[in-house]
Amino acid sequence: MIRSRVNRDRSPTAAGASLRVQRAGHGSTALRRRLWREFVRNRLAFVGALYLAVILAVAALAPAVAPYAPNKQDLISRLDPPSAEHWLGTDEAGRDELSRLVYGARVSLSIAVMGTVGGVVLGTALGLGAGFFGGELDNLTMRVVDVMYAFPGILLAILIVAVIGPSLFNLVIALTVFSTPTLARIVRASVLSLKPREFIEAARAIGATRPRIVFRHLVPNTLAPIIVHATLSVAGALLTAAALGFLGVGVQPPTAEWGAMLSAGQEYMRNASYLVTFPGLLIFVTVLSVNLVGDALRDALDPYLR
Amino acid sequence: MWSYFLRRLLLAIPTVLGAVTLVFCVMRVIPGDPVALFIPPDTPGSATAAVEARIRHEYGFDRPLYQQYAQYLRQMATGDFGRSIRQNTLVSADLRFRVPNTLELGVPAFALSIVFGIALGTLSAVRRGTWMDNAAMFGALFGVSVPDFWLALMLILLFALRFPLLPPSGWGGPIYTAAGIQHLVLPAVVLGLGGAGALARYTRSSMLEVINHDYVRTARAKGLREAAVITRHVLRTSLPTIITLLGLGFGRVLGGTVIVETVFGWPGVGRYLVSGINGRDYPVVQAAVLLVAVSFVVANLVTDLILVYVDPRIRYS
Repeated sequence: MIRSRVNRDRSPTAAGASLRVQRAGHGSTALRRRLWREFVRNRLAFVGALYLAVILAVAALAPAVAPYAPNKQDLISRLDPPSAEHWLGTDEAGRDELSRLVYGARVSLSIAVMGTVGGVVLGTALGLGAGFFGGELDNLTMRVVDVMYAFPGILLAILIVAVIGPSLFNLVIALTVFSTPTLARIVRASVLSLKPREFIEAARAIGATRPRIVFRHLVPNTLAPIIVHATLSVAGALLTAAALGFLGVGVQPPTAEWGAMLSAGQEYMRNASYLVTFPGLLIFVTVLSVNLVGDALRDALDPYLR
Repeated sequence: MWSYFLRRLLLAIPTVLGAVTLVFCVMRVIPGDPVALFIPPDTPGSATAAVEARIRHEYGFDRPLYQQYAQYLRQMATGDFGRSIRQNTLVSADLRFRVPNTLELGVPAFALSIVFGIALGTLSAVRRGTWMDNAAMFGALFGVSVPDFWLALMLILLFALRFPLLPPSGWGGPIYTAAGIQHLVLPAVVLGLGGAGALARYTRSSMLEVINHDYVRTARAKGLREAAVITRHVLRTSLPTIITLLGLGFGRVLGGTVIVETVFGWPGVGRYLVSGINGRDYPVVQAAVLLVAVSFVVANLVTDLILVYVDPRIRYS
């Protein structure tokens, strides 16, 4: 987005057409090349992707990376400011803040990603069904999506978690519900624009079955917008999960999660401001990186989405 | 035009009804026995069989679901939200006190996000590819990426604790008093910033869609001032898209009040909702969620109706 000057010089029609006509299995090298080009040119997105790779590695290797166990208390060194021993200080129970952030990455990232995956699966299914079959099914699905849209922001997620309880699995459900409506709308719109195209008509004319048309012809061509919006919706899911943790209805203590850590640190903000600064900074930089990568993917994959 | 008007109005009814029904389902059907939800967990002594039976009867949980639903609809339609379990106050009275407070915070925040969002988006579309575009779009990306609760705490740290210029939290009085304004600044900025970022991004792309059209070149060619080209030809054409986004921006502000009011201790509907959730005060939660959802549907309805006036393509279709 920031870097769109160069994109403009490329013919969006040609790029879009080559992407759209492509069938499953074909053209993936061209696609890869275009992605590569975008990330090389767009340095911010490159840095974002690099940061995400590092944070994912840190989350995966948490036991090896973290200097202390995340819940190991040390009541003598409570609320110690950052030092050589505890790089980011200790919290109100003397737990090492850095180690908790490292372990928190596991929780925060995995619920955001799993929630988005849930939303992608459900949203794609709903959007495909509504767009392909049309008629009453379309009408009904879109009314349901409208109803889900009536709850702005984190409202529905809050309501769901408040009723079914704040377990990790329930959080994933809440985030799935949060990301489903947007993806359903996007997939539906994309299917509706593909349906009247010649290659679908041709497939129908040579007697392709409905499942074949849907999965061999429609799905591959809706992948670009799905990938772009799935990425951007990971950013939304990260923010939502952290906000739920912050409000106390998300991940429960003593499990380390960025939003919940920030919320716990709030009480000690006056004297130990690092307890709110670092978890929030981490959420912010992670969301920023996901958005940078998502924007770059959009510029590379689907110039029309801009 | 009137048929569109009417159709849009009719479409909003099932959405509102659906939202009301969804809240009913989430709160009464999913939990199995809703009585458990109505008994605060930290008051073990109160959960005697007699209390349970009283709640069951009072809220009609001993009756068939369809009767409960009918009664629930009747109550919601008449604005009878029951009593708060914690405070034993009428929820409708609480809301009457809190809605103006939320408006007092939400309206300036919304105005802030509109002004900054459209200005930044226009600037970067007009100066596309320059450092101004890059700076504006990075600012917008900052706005959509920063967690509002963290930004709120950072601003409190900086402007209330480190440099005590503004009060850290609370409601200072009506908006026309100095204390009222001082208390409003930080929460309104935090609440407005995310919306401004999103709006700037969308404004930019919807303006870029029209800025290269032939009629814009014609307008320039006939010697129109650049400012006139941008405001009268480009911005005006992308206005319908921007107005649609304003509806979404309003929703963003509404959803954001939940967090921002909690951090800043602002006595509005959002904080009421959070206190209801933390205290398992379900009549409160139910009423607050419904109020926000219905306001959002109405806001989207209003944007669509404004669109009819702004966009002749809809008016004459």
